[in-house]
Amino acid sequence: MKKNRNKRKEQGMRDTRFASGLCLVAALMLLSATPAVANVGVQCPPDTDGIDTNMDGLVDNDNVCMHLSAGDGYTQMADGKLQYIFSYSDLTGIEDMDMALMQGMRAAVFPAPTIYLREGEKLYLTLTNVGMMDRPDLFDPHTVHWHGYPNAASIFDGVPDASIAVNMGASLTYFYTSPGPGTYMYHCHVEATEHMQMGMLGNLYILPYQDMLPDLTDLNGFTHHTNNKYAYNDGDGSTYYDVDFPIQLGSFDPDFHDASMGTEPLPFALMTDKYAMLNGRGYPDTVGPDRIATLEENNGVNSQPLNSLVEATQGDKVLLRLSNLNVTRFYTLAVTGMKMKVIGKDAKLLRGPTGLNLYYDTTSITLGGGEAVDVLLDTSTVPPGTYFLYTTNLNYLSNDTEDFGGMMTEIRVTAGD
Amino acid sequence: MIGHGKNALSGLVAALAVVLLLSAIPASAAIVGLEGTSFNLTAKAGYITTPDGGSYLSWGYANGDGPAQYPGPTLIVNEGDTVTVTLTNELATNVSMIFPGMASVTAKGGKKGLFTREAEPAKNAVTYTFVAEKPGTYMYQSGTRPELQIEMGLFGAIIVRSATQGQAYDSEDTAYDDEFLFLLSEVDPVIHEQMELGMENMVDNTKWEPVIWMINGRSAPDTMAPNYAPWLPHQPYNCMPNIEAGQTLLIRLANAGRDLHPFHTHGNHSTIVGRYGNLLESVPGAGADLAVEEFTVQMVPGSTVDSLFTWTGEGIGWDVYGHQSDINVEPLDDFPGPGDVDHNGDGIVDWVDMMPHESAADHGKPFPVVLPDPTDLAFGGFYSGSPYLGLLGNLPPGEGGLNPKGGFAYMWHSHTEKEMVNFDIFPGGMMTMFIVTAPGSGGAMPMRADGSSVEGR
Amino acid sequence: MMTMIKIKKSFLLPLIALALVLGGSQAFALQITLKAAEFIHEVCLDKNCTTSEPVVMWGYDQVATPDEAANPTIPGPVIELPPGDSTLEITLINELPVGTEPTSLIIPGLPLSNGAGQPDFFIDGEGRQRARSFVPEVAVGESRTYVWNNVAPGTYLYQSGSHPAVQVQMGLYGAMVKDNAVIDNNTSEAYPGIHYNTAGLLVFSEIDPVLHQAVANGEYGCQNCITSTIDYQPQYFLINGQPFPASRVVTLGPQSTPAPDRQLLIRMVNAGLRSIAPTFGSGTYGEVIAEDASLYPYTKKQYGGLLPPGKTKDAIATTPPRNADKFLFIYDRRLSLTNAAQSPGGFMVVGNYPSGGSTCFVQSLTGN
Repeated sequence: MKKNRNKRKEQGMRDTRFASGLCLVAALMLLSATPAVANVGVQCPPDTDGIDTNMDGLVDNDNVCMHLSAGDGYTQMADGKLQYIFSYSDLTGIEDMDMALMQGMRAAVFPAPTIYLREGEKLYLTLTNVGMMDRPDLFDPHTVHWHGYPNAASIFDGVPDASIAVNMGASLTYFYTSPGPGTYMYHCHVEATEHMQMGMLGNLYILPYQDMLPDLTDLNGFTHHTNNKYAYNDGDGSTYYDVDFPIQLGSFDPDFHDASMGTEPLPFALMTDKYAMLNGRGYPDTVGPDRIATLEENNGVNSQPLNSLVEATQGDKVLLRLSNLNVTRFYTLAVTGMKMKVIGKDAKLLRGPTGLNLYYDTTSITLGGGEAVDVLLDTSTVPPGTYFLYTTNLNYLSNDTEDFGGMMTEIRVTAGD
Repeated sequence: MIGHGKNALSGLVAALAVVLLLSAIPASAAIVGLEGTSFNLTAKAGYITTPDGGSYLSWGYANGDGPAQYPGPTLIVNEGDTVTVTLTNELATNVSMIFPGMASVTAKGGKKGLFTREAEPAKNAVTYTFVAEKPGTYMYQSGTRPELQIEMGLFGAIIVRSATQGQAYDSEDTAYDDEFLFLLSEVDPVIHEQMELGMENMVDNTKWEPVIWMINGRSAPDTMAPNYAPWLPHQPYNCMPNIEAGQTLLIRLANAGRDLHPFHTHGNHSTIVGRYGNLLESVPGAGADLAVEEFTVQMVPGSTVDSLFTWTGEGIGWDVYGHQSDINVEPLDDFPGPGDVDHNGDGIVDWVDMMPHESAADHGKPFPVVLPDPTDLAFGGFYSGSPYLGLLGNLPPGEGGLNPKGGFAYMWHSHTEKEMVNFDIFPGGMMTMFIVTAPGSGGAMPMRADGSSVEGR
Repeated sequence: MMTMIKIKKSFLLPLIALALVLGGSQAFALQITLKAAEFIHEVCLDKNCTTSEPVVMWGYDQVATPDEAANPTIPGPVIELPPGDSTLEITLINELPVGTEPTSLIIPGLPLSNGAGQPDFFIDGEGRQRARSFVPEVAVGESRTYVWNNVAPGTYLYQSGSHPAVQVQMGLYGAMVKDNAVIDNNTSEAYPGIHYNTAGLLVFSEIDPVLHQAVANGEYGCQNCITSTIDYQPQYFLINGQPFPASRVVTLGPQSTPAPDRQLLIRMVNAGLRSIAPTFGSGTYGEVIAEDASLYPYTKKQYGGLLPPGKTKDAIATTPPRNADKFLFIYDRRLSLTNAAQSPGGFMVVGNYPSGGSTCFVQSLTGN
């Protein structure tokens, strides 16, 4: 993820004023409550508030800018089948709209580009709808729904029924503060059943303030060192990790994707997923660093750039940021040869309101669509070798009709020094 | 989307417009049902309908001589009550009722069955008695061939109210301003058609495949029609709660279906304080000290979850209440005067007061981006035209209209998105819109059991 | 129907005493031999199994010597690891039909002490390396000993770690349990501080006859055959190997004749491929104390819950009051309550207090 500090565009905010809160209902009849509008592109204002909100010691770098396109593209399933998709691609740094359209068209990636922020950062996320090149009959708008954003405002919640969606050829900039550490996810909410089955799904997580503490800070007996990483602001180092991996559970119904590509009626209620995947790939592609070829059909973009190979040195604490964004079913994901410690659910540290510790050990977690958990693997007593993260819905260890595949990846533990 | 999606969306808008015209009342946040300690229910048949025009033979528990209900009447009782339910059977097959989680259930009359005593067709009623020992959310359901009879509609919710009014449990950690029920279910029309045709022997439970998904017995957008809407005689309960910012809604979730459903609350996390009718406490008297906050609640079949939801806009980073006080605004003559303070700490005294529940840090902070020209946008029916809570903005002709108080609308739904359709029409299914209105807007009006509103609040 | 591997208590207690004498540093190992073999399982369609559906399955049997003929069952034999033992050694003999598959053994959550992290791979047609198993395999006709050290108390699933989509469905699964301690003749300690009188073991599993038919006919994975199990659609829903009304609870623990209102430990194991929602039929609540042999920080008081595939859960309840001779003990709230299309059936099991005589709750459930 790049940070972009572009010149601030003209904001031209229109005033709205009220005498006091409780007179609001009367007041709203008199005043326009619509901020200024304009033909806008990427909006990326500089951080000029003079406050270091992400706690990295710098006062001018707390704004993060991203530019995503929403459009179509192609992925290849582990059995070789080409699947037409809708998704996002990363256009960060591109401000020229002609350039954005050219680079964003038919360049969708799955899962969508990973978004991560440090707590205290502010995200200006520009979404440019580049249209569906291979479905010229479609004029669908798109949105970004930051799934799990607390106290969300409906304008940036991405639900088209409740707010706005951006039409083809136009851009809309979303604004988010980073609301607290943990694992979230994002997806398009326009025609959600269709656009999500088609692949408009991505990883999203936030790093905690605790990472930025001064060296040797005492955390209730745990000594923090510079560059230590934690999943949450735990106050005791219990969510410390050495390596982390965002892993999104998902699945495709090939009939649906084929019907979409063929401009045929779409099977909604009878949707049946046959490709169960982690980060947009079925096993064994889940472990291949560059196995997915750059598809000619995908505008030269590697459409499945994210593997889910978990690599650790013996002794490492491994953080898995697990989320599920499939639209048809629950999946249970298990680990072999070791246990998981579940430390977070839905971007909240597993502690009760009075601080009671609710972490628990298990061999598997079960997630429905829209759920997320954070789990730690402690490899200190795990002999070097290859272990597995796999679904215990064992029939989904398939790439459709191909066996030895599906929702599975490897955990490779190598010997320490 | 190939055409029909757009139609569906406009269909939703049209349906909602009808609702609003007919009622002119925003849905509120109160649970309607039968109150008391003694209930007479009758198992009988009726036809439920879906927004796409479907009509399916169903079985439901009726209130006495009333119509069969899908779901059955919500029974609202008080902690400690001894509750009696008398079940009369007007169906052609044995039926019964079980009350998972209820203590000391006894059954009298009828015939012994696998789960409990059953009422035979056209014979004497069965009387079930139990003690509502603990407050919480429960369900009742058929204990006779449940894989068929629950599918056919023989289930309902039980609310056991705490001895302390306004609390979900006997702990102040569970206090709420308003409450609402979300009773989840699925329908496989094939089974209903087979039953209608008298082909019960053709029903194969292992081939069950639901294609209709409901909250409180309705698929969206019918979830948003009023309680006791006359065009839904067998599906009396709506699901469109509405609170003011800063209020706490008690979400009573119950999964009467067979599939797990991930229930996603747009707008905020909710705080789960009870499951299966038990306060989440470490030791008795500790309060809800095992509560957890989740943005998607995993609803296990047969489970109930009590969860608290509130919304204030805190942390958004701009003034969601629309107080653009520090920008280009001339203060009033008496400014600065008593009470005029710098709420957000930016060194400028604000001339606009804070709303109740408003976060001081965001007070007066400008909207952070420029919105595109309206021609670049698609507008939702629940969009007020303004990004600010409680305000209405300019919208192109024909847009919006479902949100007259300028609330923030949030979709609450199964995050198994294929359950958000009515067959091949999106949106629909296990979905509704939840609305937060501005403090003091009078948004949350309690509703009488007949569906009419109680004015003033 | 189901065999149990058990060390007699009279034998066990001196062992523990010996362990204490030796300062507790000496770990004892339970050594057993399992054979994996094909067999025909009769799925009972009525209580006394007068009608049944034969299904070709793969199962485990415990044998005293390698020469002993296998008589496999589903689930496989219950392995009871005595409290004093922390090492389990299973010698697995692969007697699956020639030409079928190598197999292996895993206990989810427990690392192997020999061969952990050493799966067997193959190279697919596109040159990609794919795992065929999670741990080292045993070829047909061969044997291998799997060792797990430091086994903590709890309820475990053991199952094939090879080609699990097929081999687990075919029946290669069973339960392993270990108590923390024996307290006295009537009481055992499941986990530190968790005492019980009687344990009821429920191993849930499913059968989709399509796969079994294909495997039996040598028609899995060939051209024009089914080549994956993606279209899994189970027809039979079994508790300890049989669906209702032939389903039974297996009793474990010190009290074989418990009275009502005693401490009952319910050990639940899902060896199937789908989530189940086991729910008490008798209105009682249980305290769910552990999953996958790990105690929760706080127990969960529930009358039902979720049992995902591959998972074990333990709950403590009291045996119901004696209101009636029979009561519905557990049913699946996901409503897999038929045998194919026949109702009632599936994931349900009945409890029974026989009239007169002993108030034998669980033993009667086992069909005695």
